[in-house]
Amino acid sequence: MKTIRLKEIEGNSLGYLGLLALLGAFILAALGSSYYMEHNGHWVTGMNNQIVWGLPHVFAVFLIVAASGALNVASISSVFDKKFYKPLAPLSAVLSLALLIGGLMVLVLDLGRPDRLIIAMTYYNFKSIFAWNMILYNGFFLFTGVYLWFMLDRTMKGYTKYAGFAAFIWRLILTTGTGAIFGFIVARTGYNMAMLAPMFIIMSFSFGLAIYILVLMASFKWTDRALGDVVIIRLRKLLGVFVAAVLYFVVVYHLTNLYMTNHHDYEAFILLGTQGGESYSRMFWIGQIILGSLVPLALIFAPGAGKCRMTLTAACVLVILGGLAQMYVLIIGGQAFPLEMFPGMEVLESTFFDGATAQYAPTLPEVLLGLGGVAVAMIIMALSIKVLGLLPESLDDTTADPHHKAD
Amino acid sequence: MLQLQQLMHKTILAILGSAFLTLSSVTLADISMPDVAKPKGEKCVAPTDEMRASHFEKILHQRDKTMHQGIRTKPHSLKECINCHVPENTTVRFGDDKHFCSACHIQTAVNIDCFQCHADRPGNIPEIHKKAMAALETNLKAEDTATTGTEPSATGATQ
Amino acid sequence: MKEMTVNFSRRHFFEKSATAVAGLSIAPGVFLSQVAQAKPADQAVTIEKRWGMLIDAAKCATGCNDCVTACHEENGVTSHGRPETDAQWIRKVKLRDKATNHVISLPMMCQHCETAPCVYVCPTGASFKRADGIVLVDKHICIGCRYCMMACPYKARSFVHETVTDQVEYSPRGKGTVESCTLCVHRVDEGGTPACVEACNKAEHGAMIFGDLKDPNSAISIELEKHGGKQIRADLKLNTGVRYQGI
Repeated sequence: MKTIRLKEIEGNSLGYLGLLALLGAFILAALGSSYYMEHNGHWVTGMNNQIVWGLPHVFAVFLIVAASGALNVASISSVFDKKFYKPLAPLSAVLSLALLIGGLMVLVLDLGRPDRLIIAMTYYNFKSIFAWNMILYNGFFLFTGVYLWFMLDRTMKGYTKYAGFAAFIWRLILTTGTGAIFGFIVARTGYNMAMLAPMFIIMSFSFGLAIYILVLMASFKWTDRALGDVVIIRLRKLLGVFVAAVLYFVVVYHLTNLYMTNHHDYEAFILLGTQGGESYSRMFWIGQIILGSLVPLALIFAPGAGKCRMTLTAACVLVILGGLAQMYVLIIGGQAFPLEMFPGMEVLESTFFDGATAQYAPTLPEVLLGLGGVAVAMIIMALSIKVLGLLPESLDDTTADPHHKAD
Repeated sequence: MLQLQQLMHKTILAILGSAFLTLSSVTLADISMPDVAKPKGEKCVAPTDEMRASHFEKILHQRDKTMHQGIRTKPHSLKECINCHVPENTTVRFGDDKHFCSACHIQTAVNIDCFQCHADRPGNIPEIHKKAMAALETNLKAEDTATTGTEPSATGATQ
Repeated sequence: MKEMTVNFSRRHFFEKSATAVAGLSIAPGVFLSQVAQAKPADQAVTIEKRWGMLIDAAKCATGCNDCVTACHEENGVTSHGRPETDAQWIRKVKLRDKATNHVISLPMMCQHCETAPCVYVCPTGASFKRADGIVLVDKHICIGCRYCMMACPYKARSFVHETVTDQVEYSPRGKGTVESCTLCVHRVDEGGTPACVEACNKAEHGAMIFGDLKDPNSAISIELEKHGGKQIRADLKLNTGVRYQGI
């Protein structure tokens, strides 16, 4: 089998420097927004005492979930010993680290007291799944870092599968933990479901792979490297399976809720837009289901579209946007729905908006902070492929899979 | 060309030399004590040198005891430090170099965030609280005289 | 510092007068505002006491806001004219029973649960329950993540959305941290009662009783035994320290 060489990119072109400049501008905007929010206090944002986690958290959770799933390609190569994916693995590992850094940056910068990050890393309440998440994120850096080292270092290559296995188990625990942040909350109707943890795992597979495919296609295209149809077809089918799996989990989640009479108000809120939930209902049906699941499935599995890169790109973009919509519906819709404190009673008056659907309108600093996280992840990718040998020189059909059947 | 180089060397030496002298004179000279208002009491709860070396440890220790165990003894309480060291209703606030805490903290460039939450001057007590505490004190005193028939023993409230 | 000695005769006097106090349940002001023994300042709180409140929604006057005004004045909680982000440690809620059209009002604040979700979820342990049952935020280690606000079934917590200056000296509060009703812990530790309860008694509504739930002779325990008391969202089994009648 022809050895596939991983080579750094030149990284001198105007296009590359322009990309760095653009991402740098977004990062500066995000830092400025974070300073503005922290200096004035959160009253300048759209978040309030009713919607405590807003758009920054939508982005942050999306990036963190995608980070875990982006390692999938590497895991398939090491844990499930699929040689086909081995040259794709280092890029996958770096992408997962980059996305996690971006997500965590947004999360930390939105804290009320980001200057207390050291406190967050040294005072632990081990009953809190949030505290466990902090340990899991740090561990993820460690495990994936070691895994990446073993992948790239000739002398350590033999141990890659052990590191890969450890990283695989760790990220399953990590994503379970991220889902459990919501699943363990007893107070809110939309959250208290054990399903949220495995749903987050399957979401991570879908979002992570979509981002990976886009990064792979873009980096190969912009460095004039050959990316053969065989790779495209394989990754395409894999993405299709994950998108379908996410849709399955969403269906089961809502079906379960529909069987519980005491959850009917929440289901009507999300599915039908009652009680002021129109925006969430729209985001759910149009954003999450149609654009985020059904259209991508059609684009991926349409007969004859197997090699078409345009449909695959479109599908990936839609999966990402649908994923953001899904996070928005879950995180913000789940908070907007009023707490059910007085069953059988109607709240006539309250100065603290009891019984009322909470209002939320994202403000510019929040949007810029969220986008900054994405920019950080992408700039880490852009710099990594220059500094490290991550991209295979070529992934044309004969190189990627010498045994493929040409059709 | 050689003259220019020599001139450059001389200038650099002059700059470095004067910098060295300035810095050493600053470190060798006495650090002037900040100009702050006179504290209320006779003396502090511990000798000045001990306080300078470890007041933060005392405050840190006390805050956890107060917060988690409800121990509200006066000696290491931040509120009591402020009560003594900062005049009531002063216009000098934390951040001015004349405020008791920020005077040294600015000079030593040690950031503290206590006063993001804590009052930096004493005396801001709402009327409702003053009235309630006065009534409580009267009641507790009355209760003491009623039970023991002797002078009321000190309780946490009246101290 | 003077030695604190426990005076046994004083304790016995208090036990006898507690029964008398219970009988004076309509009398306003002074007697009801002093149901607690002052704890010596150097003594740690213990699990021997559990502070709680009993609120009778039937006695709560619909248009009255005295408890809210008192609490916010006592603790220096200022309004900025932005109801969505302004902190509220206690609020009045007016409710209508959909089946019977009966209208009631009640004050809503931190319920000081025994198994408080906010305490479970806090990553740093800043949200904690004191031995005597009062749930507090240790703002020294609060990082402002707002997870406790997500987890609270009663929406009891507020996030401080702006810079705070001129704090009340016994009620530190600052930007970027989370806060909620402290059961006026600064008053309780000195033998007093929460400002809201005191204000309600002053207005002669007497809808709120404060006391030690573990003391069978306290006014609150006697009233609970006589007329019962419900928890809001009792199905969550949080064993709240604040109970309600008439809901």
